Amino acid sequence: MVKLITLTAYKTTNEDIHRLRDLGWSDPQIAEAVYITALFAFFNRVADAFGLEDPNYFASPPPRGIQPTDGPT
Amino acid sequence: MIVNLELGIVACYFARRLQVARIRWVEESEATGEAASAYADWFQANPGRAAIPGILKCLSLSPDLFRAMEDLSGRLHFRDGHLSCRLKEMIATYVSALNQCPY
Repeated sequence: MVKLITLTAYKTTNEDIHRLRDLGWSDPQIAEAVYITALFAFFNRVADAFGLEDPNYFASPPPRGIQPTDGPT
Repeated sequence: MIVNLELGIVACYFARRLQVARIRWVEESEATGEAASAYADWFQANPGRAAIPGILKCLSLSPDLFRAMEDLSGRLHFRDGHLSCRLKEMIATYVSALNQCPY
């Protein structure tokens, strides 16, 4: 869900939410997960735009299963 | 050669730590007006902290936004809500990795 909201939020479906409810998540919990995910979208972009750390610092391969070309198309 | 190498490493370390942003933000020492009072309030609310976190200094160009984001992150990120602070920190770390944000 966090990856979905971070990379392709526009692809979110009702099923995504139902699946979380089936796993025991309440709507307030789902909402808060969306808020914190979106908040860090803001912080990450501001930090990278300002150059708070050398972007090459992140030279290690991207997290499991994400190729640099992945992400919103 | 060795000495130069060590100096290079030390310099590189300090260069990264100085966190000079590529967009000129307001340094604590040069803050005036709204930025100065926003910084002063932050130091008062965070006793024992020597410097303002870089991410907040990025917002110093708009002191109102600095205050709003500090308030927002206090309410959403740094306390238990519908989710525990711990879980939210994990989500924040995962998002930062997905967004390739080393900071």
